[in-house]
Amino acid sequence: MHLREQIITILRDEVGPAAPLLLDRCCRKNLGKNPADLTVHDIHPLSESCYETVVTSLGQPAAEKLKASIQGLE
Amino acid sequence: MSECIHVPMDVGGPVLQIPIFYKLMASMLFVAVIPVALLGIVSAGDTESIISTIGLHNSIFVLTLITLAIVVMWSFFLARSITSPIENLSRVADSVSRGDLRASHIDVMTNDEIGDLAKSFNRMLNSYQILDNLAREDTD
Repeated sequence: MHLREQIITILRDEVGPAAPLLLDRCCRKNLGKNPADLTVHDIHPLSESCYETVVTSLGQPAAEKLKASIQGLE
Repeated sequence: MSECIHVPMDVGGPVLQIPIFYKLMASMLFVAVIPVALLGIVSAGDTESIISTIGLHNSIFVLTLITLAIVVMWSFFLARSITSPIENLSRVADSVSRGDLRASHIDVMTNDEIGDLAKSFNRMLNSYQILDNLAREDTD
């Protein structure tokens, strides 16, 4: 499975249908990349970016969980 | 039958998921067995002296009262365990439908179908909050 799909699967578990949009936003805004071009080296900064985006909406526990799940792909 | 009982592996370890169908069925069987069990206990013990003291009719009346008390208490706790999470879910759904997202997270307390529904509802709310947040960022 492509890295983008793996990350979307993780995000979907927590944020449902907003997962692709969240990934797209985090990739383009914070990494300056297309989600399809993600590599393993992008996982850590992406997890931080997702944390920053999610923590304001869902709170720290959910954001920490999401960050840890994404970093688990490394 | 076994396909209805899921054992999800969570971070905290395996959690036995018992569907409401089985909970209700077991409860009804339990309630049906109480009078029989009480009669069995009475017949097994040396109860002749009690029956001769308080009388047969009174003995039956006391057994009926005990059965009734157990059934009422059991029904109350069973009904409460099923309806309480649904009421909670309904309350949060109502406040969200009115646009109030402040206290919109549901604590999942049960590990049955209602617990699954609450998890799905939380995920839907998370999605709504994320989309709302992203839309606000776009506006800013």
